[in-house]
Amino acid sequence: MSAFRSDDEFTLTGRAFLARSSKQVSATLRLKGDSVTLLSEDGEKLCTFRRNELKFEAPLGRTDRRATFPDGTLFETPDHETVQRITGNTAGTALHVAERFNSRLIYFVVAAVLGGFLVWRFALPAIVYVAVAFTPEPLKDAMDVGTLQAFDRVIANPTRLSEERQDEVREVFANLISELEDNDSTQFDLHFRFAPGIGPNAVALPGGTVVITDALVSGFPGDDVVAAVLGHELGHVVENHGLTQLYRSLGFFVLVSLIAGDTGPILEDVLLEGGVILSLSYSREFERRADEFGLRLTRKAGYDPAALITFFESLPGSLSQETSWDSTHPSSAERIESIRDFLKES
Amino acid sequence: MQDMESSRQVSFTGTAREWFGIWIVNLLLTIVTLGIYSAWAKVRRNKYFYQNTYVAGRNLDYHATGLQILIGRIIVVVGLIAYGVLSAIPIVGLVLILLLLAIFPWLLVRSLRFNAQMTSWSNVRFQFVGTVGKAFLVYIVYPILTALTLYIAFPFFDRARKRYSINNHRLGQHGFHFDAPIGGFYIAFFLTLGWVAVVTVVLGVIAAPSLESMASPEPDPSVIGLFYLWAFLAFFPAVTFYGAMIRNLTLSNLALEGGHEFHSDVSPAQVLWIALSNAVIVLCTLGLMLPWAQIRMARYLADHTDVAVNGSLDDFVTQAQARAGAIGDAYSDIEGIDVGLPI
Repeated sequence: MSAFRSDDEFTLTGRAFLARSSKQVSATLRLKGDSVTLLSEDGEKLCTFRRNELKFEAPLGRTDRRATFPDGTLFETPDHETVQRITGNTAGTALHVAERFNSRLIYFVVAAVLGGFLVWRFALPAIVYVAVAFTPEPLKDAMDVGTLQAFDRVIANPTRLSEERQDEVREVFANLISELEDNDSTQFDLHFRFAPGIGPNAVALPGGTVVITDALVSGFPGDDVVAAVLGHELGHVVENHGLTQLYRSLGFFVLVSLIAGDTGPILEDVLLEGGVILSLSYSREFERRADEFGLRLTRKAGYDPAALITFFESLPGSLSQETSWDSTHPSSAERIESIRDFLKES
Repeated sequence: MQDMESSRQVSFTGTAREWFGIWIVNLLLTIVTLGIYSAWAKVRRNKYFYQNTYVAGRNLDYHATGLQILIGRIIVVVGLIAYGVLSAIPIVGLVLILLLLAIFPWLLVRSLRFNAQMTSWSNVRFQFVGTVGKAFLVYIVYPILTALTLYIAFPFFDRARKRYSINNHRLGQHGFHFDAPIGGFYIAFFLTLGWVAVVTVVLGVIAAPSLESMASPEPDPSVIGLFYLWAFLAFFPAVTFYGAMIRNLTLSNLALEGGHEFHSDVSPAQVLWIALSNAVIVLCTLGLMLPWAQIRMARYLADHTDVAVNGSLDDFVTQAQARAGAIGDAYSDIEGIDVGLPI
């Protein structure tokens, strides 16, 4: 298709809406050299413009091609062919050609699915990684304070452990921290809570706050089990698992909302639910990595890493459970298995 | 009234094949640009649906540019992420909630103004002239009052929302006017509640055994399935039913200054059938039939909408108006806010 040449002459028939108004007239647009003239049905000259004031909007399906002039007059014509000869090929016409309904669109479908997978698998984690790296330490600390307050409101009570026992556990915690590599910025804090609702347990927050329950401290003889669980929690902090999960879910929500206009509400819900289920596999992966991190750390600090097995064996149903797709953690049986493998290898 | 079919003034001319091509290109470009193209995709989608909607032989159009939409979205996404992260901090979180409550009506008005300005019919732009103060009353105070009445006053809230959003719209210099007695709103409301109640009771009786297991520490997984079944049979139809009845009520009591009167006679059962079968077909084809489903619904709604034109349609003139940015529009897009305009 040839681009516009100055000696070309074109005539388009259609309708015009006069300057900024709804007044509709049948009209002919005559393009000759540098001048554009809009004529009414009975040959009356409605207005004249220069060639460079004639800008057709990009084509869209079979809808009329439209051009709005500087004075607010709108011209519409169904004559796609002539308009195309006037404008030549533009980015808009390329898009229009790509959109045409034919078998090539199957490749677009495949590309969209593949692209969606690649974004989810690689682009989103990369963005999350950068965001985690740029999150300032004070912000993480502030988030810890908020989470700890919510924790206290909902399930936790002040500890009932004696000061001496607390000091013993603090010493274990300090021993573990002193073995951490390149620990420059994070400030680690250990808190004791009486929380019967969650049994023997410990929780790590992004800013370095670790909460340990009384049941865990007093439920096992010696310090090895406490050290093993604290080592695991420190793994979550050092490898930024909590923040990564938070950013991943925020980022996923934003990405899905952006394409929601093109997926409709039902598929949007399916995508969001699917995203939650897929994110659980990341959560289980983080647990495995924190286990390995904790095993290495406890061994370096002089505790018995196998104590983590003791801990999991003490959990109810530890030997029967299979890991299921809807779980945030791998099953205890599976974790014991991988801990044994890890200890054998090293 | 004479033969309704031939005198219809509203029609939709989009086709599923054509829209499929535009849709899949939109989706692909949005994915490969990590969502950035979604701004241009929205413009193209709106243009396609508006330009294919004819009222009295003249079509609508959408005029926002992709760049405008993108800037609005970037601001909102950055704001939402900051909100998500900062709200974890104790006092800041509370302040943020109050702040959002305060600027919510402002965002809503900006959204309505932006969309009105960017929409035209027959070369004339719409405009929205509602105030932020009234929006605060309608969208913040009224919902709280409605909750205090245990939602018995919901129809009053819904009518107030429709009055606010519609009566503040103008086409050029001419205003829209909607008002209707509260009775119609209450009929739709109680029919909807009745449907939910009947389905809930029937499902409850059928599924009583598995419901008992909910009290036990390990609930039967079929309870989750039961919830989805309830949503599909009770909630989804109820919302669709209510929407269709209110659409008829609203449009049939809507007039444009100059004596042009709107009319809608969609059948709630038919709308429900289209919505349900669309949902099933879209899910079974993993989304590929979505464009077809959207066109099917748009065509049905247009076919059951009419305008009685009384007098000339040539005397509308676009009014000068202060530009509203796209932030409010981006916010209501991402949060999926319904301002109560009949579509």
